[in-house]
Amino acid sequence: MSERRVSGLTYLVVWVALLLLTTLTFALSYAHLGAWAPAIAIAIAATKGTLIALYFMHLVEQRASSWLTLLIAVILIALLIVLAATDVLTRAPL
Amino acid sequence: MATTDVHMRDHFADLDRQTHAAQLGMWLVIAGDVLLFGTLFVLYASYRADHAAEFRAAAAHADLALGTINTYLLICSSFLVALAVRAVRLGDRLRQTVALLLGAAALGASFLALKAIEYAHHFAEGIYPGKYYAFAELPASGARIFFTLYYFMTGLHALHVLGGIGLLLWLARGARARRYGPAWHTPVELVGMYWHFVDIVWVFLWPIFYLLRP
Repeated sequence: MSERRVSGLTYLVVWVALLLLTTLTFALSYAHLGAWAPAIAIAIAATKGTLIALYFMHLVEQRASSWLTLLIAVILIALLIVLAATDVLTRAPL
Repeated sequence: MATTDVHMRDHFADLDRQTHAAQLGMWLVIAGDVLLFGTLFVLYASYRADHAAEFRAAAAHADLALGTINTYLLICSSFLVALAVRAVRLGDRLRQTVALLLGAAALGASFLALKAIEYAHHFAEGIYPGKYYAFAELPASGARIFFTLYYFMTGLHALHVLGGIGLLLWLARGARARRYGPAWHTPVELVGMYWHFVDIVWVFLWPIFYLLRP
């Protein structure tokens, strides 16, 4: 737990990475990526969320029970979103 | 071994385990909040699948500049909170800790101010949630649903930011009273986790409400 600690330099690198990823998301929104645009934007958002959780929220320092709790919540929500959207997308016209 | 720490409750074997329990408790709070926001993302995904073109047209009307500035503001405030936690852990950095916490709270307040300006612009155009929606330019029901979700999800998030600012100010007061140090700083850690979580929620709200192109 407290033996491994995120260093000041790591915070700085993560912060810069978050700023760059935000700028990348913004630039890509003008790139006319078509159907892939939302998937790419969400993938970058997920990367940013993972960086924040691992380093700013200190998941890398903590025991497995901490990240398992979060991971399970995220997996269940992702499942719910995908299944609900699949239902709506594949419905036969009434 | 038998250090008597005033912060340790006697049902824990040592401070390390108590800290771990506190962190796990905070992760459960956050997991619960993930489910709350998650169900709203489910609603969004379902309606968007049904009204793709109307959602894109409505998102093009969102205030891209303010939404993007707000994304940068929250990321920077998260960075300040991370540095504040670091300063408390290192110890002997009282003024730095207080300044970082107040700076993060100020960025959070700026976020809310910009959000208020954004809402005011929308209200002026007749963009209200639900049955009060009266925006002549985008009369389709998909646009009404989009803006209703927008108000509900960003509004719920704004309440989280408001609560977070209160917690950061409370931490700053505690830090000034020398309540936290390298040996014990659980409240700083836990509020920090909460603040970063609020940041993550916005990281997902930003692309789904501001970055769709028609």
